[in-house]
Amino acid sequence: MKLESHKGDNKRFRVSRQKKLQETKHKKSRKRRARRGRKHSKDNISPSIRSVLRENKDVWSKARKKVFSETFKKRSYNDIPKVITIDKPLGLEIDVKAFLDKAEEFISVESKKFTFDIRNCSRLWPSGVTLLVSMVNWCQMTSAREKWPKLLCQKPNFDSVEDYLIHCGFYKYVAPNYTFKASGKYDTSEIVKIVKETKRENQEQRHKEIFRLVKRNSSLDADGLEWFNDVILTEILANVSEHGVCKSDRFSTDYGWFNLTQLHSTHKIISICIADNGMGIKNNLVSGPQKDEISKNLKKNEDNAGRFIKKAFEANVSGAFKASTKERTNLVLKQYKRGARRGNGLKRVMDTCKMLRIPLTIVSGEGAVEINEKGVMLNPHDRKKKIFAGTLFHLRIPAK
Amino acid sequence: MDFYSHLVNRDENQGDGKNTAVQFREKFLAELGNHEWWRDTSKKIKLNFKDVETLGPSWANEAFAYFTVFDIKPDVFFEKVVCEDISQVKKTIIQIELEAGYKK
Repeated sequence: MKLESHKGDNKRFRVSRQKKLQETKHKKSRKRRARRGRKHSKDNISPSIRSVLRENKDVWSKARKKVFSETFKKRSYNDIPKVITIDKPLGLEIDVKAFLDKAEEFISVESKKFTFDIRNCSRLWPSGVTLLVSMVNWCQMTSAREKWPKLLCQKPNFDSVEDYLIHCGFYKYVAPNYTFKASGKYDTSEIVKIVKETKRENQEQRHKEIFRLVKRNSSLDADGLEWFNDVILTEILANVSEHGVCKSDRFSTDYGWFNLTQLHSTHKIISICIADNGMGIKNNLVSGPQKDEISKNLKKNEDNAGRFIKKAFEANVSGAFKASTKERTNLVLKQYKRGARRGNGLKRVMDTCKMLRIPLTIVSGEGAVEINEKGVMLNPHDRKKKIFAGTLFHLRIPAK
Repeated sequence: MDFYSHLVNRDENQGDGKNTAVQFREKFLAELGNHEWWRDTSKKIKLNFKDVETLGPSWANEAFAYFTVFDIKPDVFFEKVVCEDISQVKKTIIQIELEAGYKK
C-alpha cells in the first residue's frame, strides 16, 4: 500500500512539472509576440476579416481561405500625401474607358492622406460616386482601425455637383463627421441613396425600393418589368449579398454591399449601381470548387481579370463554395449530374439584359466587361492594377 | 399564403437566408423525392402562384430543377406539378431552370 501511494505521488509530480514547463513556454512565446508589437501570430489581417474566416472555417476550402486572407491583408500606408484630380465627368454611364483609367490611378494607392480634387469636375455620375465610396470602405477594411487613412474631398466649384453629393449620401461615407444640408434641388423620389448594407434582413426592402423606382420611371412594359425584377435585380442582389454581406454585426463597418440608383430624366436613363467589397470574381473562381477546370484555360498569375469575368458569364460557371463540378462518367467524358446546379445566375442576367436591351457593365478587381444593348460582350478589359475593390454591376435602364 | 411572396433565396447563404427554396422543397415537395411518385401517373400536386411577386431563377432552380435528378423532363414535370395563377414570365423562368437542370 505504501508503495502504491508513493507511485501516485511521482505521477502527480511529473504532471505538475510538465504543466509548469508548458506554461513557461507559452509565457516566453507571448512575450516574444508582444515585443514584435503584434497581438496575434501569423496573419496580417484585421479582426473583422479574421472573424469572417472563422465563421466560414468549416465550409471554405484552404485555397479560398488563402486567397481571402491575401486579398484583405493589411496594407502599409505611407506618409506621402496623394491628390487625385478628377476634372472631367466621371461615370460608366458616359465613358467606360475613362472611368477605368481614372480608377486604375488611385484604387491601389497606399497613402495615409488622400485627397480627391473634384473642384473642376462638372459631373460625378452614380457609378463614380459608388467607386469613391467603395474605395473609402476598402481602405478601412485593409488597415487597422486606429490607422485608417484619411480620405478627403475638396469642395466642388460646381454647386450642382456639391448638391448632388449631399443629396445622394456621398458625404456620409467620405466625411461622416460633417453635416451637410441638401438644397432640395434634387427630387428624392428619383433616387435610392447610396447605402452600404451590412444587415442581410435589409435586402428585400432595398430590392423593392429599386424596383419601385424603375417601375415608375422606366420605359419597360409589364413583362419587361417582371423579367427585370425576377431575373436581373434578383440575381445581381443575390450575387453581391452572398459575396459581400457582413456576416457578423460586430464588425458592421467593414464588409458589405452598396447600392445607388438614380433617374436621369434629361438623359432618359436610370443608372443602377450595385456593388460589393468582396474578393472579386477572379479570386472567387480561382479558389472555388471549379478552379481546376477553369485554370486549364485561364492562369491565375496573369493580368486576365477581365477574361475571368467573361468566363463567369458562361453556363455552369460559379465561384461559390457549393458550386457543382463535373464528374467522370467514362474514360473520356466528364458531365454534370442532373439536378439543381449553381453557376447560371450571371448568364441569366446577361440573356435577360439582351432581351430587354439593357447595357450592363461589370467591373471587378483588375478587370471589366461591357455588354451593350444588343447583348454583345465587347472585348474584356484586363488591367494591371485594381480598378474596383470588389465587384460593381452597372445597369443603364431606358427611362420614359 | 402558405409560403412567401418574394421567392429569391436558394439557401441560407443567399440574401437574408429566409424563405429559401430548400425550405420550400423540404416542406411542400417532400413526397416528390422518389422515383415512385414520378412514375405514378395518378399523383399530381398543385402550386398556386397568385400572391408571388418575385420568383428568382436560383430559387426556381433549387426548388424545381432539383427533381431532374430523377431524370424528369420539363414537360413531364409540368404535367405532374400543376402551376396555377402563374404569369408567362414566371413559367418561362421555371422552364429554363428545368431545362438547365435536365441537361448534363
